Amino acid sequence: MNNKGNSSISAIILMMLIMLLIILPIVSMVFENYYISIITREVVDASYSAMTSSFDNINIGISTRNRLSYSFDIEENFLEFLKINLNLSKDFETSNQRFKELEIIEFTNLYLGEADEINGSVARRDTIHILMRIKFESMFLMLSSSEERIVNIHFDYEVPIDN
Amino acid sequence: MEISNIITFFIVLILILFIFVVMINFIIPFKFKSDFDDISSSYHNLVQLEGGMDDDIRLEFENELLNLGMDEIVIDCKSVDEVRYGEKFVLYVSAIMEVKTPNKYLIFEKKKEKLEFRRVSFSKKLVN
Repeated sequence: MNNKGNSSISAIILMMLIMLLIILPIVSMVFENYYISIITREVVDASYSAMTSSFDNINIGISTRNRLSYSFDIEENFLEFLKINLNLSKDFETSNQRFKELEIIEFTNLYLGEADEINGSVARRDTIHILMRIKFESMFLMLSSSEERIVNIHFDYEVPIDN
Repeated sequence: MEISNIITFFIVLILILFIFVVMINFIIPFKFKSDFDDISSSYHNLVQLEGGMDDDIRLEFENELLNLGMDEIVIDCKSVDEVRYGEKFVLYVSAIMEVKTPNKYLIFEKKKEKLEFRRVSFSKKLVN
């Protein structure tokens, strides 16, 4: 009876250890990735919307004669609209702690007058290249070595000009 | 089958069920947020093309959010008559959702959470 009792207790302890060390970490990782994917999708949607609005806000017909002059306007507009869309402060700080930090790493015009191949695709018209970095506070630290998760968002947006 | 094995089986089953319920209840609020964002985004595109929000779109939008289980819905957007072509306008939507989530002592309690959606647009429809 004593042996049977011991084996039941050891079975329960073993199952609990399996849950704590294997099942819980896996479920937590899945949950964390799901949360990050939702917030990332929200940022991407807000960015596309901000980018579309940026082009609507400038007079492209006049600006196309001087490419460099409108790049600046687009970036200013884009940042302004992105802050409104995501409800961010002037310093890109969030009010409701969805993510830790958002920063724009690159904002450039890929097309410089000639057809240019970038990462396998050819830019034949003015294309704005944006690289953003979102930092999340890691919710589950047991499996990750760092305290934050970093997601890079990259998209190229072709300037809608009818030429 | 021995009684000790049955007890062990049930304890393990209860633990697995508990973890499952806790995880599902953590995920549900985010599922709501994802659905809320998807619906709001599709109406934002519509409003942008229509050049403002008319009463039919507002009612349809509100009904979709109500069907999702949202309360205290606020939709703030200029109407079609108010927005000129190329004019800037903002679509703001907020709603309250009520979900049961576990607190830090893993006790389930009802919690109200506010969801917000805000997008800047420029009217693309020539109406006036």
